[in-house]
Amino acid sequence: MLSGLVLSQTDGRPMYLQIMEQIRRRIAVGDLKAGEQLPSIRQLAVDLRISVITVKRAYLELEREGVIATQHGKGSVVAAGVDLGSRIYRQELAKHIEEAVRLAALLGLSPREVQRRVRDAAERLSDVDKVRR
Amino acid sequence: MNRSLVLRLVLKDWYLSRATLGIVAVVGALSVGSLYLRHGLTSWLGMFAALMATIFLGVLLPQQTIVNERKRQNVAFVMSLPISVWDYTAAKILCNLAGFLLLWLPIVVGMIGTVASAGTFGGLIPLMLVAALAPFAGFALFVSVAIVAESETWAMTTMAACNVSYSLVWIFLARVPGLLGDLASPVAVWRPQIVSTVAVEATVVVLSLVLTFYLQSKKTDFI
Amino acid sequence: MSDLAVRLEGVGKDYRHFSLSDVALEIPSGQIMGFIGPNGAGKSTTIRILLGLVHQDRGEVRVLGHRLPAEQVAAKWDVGFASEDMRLYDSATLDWHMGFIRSIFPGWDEGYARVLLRRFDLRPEQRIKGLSHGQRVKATLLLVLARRPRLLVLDEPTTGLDPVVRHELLRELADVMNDDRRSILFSSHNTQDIEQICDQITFIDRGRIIESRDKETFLERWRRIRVELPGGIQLPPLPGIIDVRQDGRLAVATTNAYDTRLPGAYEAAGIRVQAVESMTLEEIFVTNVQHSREGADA
Repeated sequence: MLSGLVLSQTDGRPMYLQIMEQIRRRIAVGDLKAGEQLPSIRQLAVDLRISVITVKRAYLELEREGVIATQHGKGSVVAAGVDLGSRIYRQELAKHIEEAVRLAALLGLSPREVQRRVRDAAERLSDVDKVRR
Repeated sequence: MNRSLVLRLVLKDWYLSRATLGIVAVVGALSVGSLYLRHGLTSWLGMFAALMATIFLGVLLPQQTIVNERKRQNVAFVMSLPISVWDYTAAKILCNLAGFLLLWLPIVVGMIGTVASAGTFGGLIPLMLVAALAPFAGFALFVSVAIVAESETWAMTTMAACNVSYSLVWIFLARVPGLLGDLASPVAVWRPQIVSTVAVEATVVVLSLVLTFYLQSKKTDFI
Repeated sequence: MSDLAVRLEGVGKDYRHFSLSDVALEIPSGQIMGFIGPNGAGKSTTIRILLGLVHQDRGEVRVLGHRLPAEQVAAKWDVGFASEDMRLYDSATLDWHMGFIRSIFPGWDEGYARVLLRRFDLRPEQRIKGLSHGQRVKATLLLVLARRPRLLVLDEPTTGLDPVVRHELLRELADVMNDDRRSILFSSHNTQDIEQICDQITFIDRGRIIESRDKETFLERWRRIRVELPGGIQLPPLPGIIDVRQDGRLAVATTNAYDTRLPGAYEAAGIRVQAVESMTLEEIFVTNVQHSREGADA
């Protein structure tokens, strides 16, 4: 269930975004399955001790992204979609790449530089994996 | 007016002043009892104690139920209840008046009744009535000022003024020719000055209570 | 109209050294409104007008559909009020107070009251005189919460409470929201609590409402934009920017009408946008008040 959601006030990001991210994560790892009923907006607000309006916004945005579906009067359910898990990860990856490119531009790095750094990071990650095994 | 709520408020105030009421009740009962015993010295002592108890109550009860409630910021709690300013005023007046009368009435009836039944002291009765009504009038005024003015200073000033005015009443009556002679008469003599004094005292009681309700209803800032 | 728990329109009140002017406020049923303002701004006066403790000089006040101050008795049956300057009776016990309230209000929930006693760590047989400040505040709140009123009006309920108790209170307030016919108005200096739990937020300063809207819109519209200026250029005035702080080549622009095209507008003028930051409610509030005071004093 969603009562385990933990929100941080010092996170810096708006609370509705945090809720969205945590719901997406649970769907991605399979804790929330396709077609599963989500708690009502009011119920989640009460459980998390936050405003109804924030939860409403999170649900609205998630619906817009196609992650959940709302039926009038029946509440919200996790959208039935093939590969919802990997779609969520893909969306996150795209966001991170955009952010990396933006920061690189601030630093004045060329796209080639960005590519080189991504490759370096991937190599470092696989090295760490090798050490673990 | 919500009668059951007003009653609850009155009981609440009596509960909160239970210490004062308790002491006064015991002293009052003993002294009134001694009056009815009609035994010389004890009766005089009893009368004195009864008078003290009345003064005690007449100051402490309004002080605790009205002035202190404001001073200790309890009024917001009371006014957050489903009552109107009218209910609040009625409760305060009822609580204080009933408390006072419960003690004062038996004393006055006891004293005047004792004198009347003695047969030959009827001349004392008119003056006794004036003397008995004076603290009652002062009390009514004190309660009214305490409720309307919401200030301890004003209430205390009123009480001081009342005490002074008692002396003025005696001075006024003392200068009425023949009054002293009336005192010795076996039958009560109701001179016009006595009657008008009693009327003034009674008017003070009624007027101050009526004015209290009127002025309270005009308030736009209750807290 | 009937869906509003509270509605103030054109409310004004004049005192010798202070005036409340043109106060307008709406709390939809089932929502929580946070009321933020500096000391002396008029929060307590507004709240007292809502309770009928102070009569407004102008304007209309409706609480749960009842007109105030005329129908204050009817309103107060369903309104629970607790304020920072309200005191319980020193010489009585908490238990006596509970019995007193229970005897008046039919909605008193004894089971919930017992739960609150446990959660707030209060002993009913204690005299109010012997309680610490925090315990007194908790006792007052218990009396108001256990009645389950349709409207809760709290004037600085968390002032002077330690973080644990504040957290507990927020939990109880959130629980109130389980019933979508119940609403809460609470004024506080603690902008963090308000930011977390309130649906609607109202700023008040010097007797005037500066802004009143839902929380998400507030958080959406306010941004700090950090920029780097090439030498010699001044920051061009763009619509919606209400404050600019410049220090050498770095500047921070604050806007209360954020548009996603704004950073682009700066970039087009040759200015590099380093970051676009959200603002906390506290930062929004302080900036809002300063901005409104500058406008008023100008």
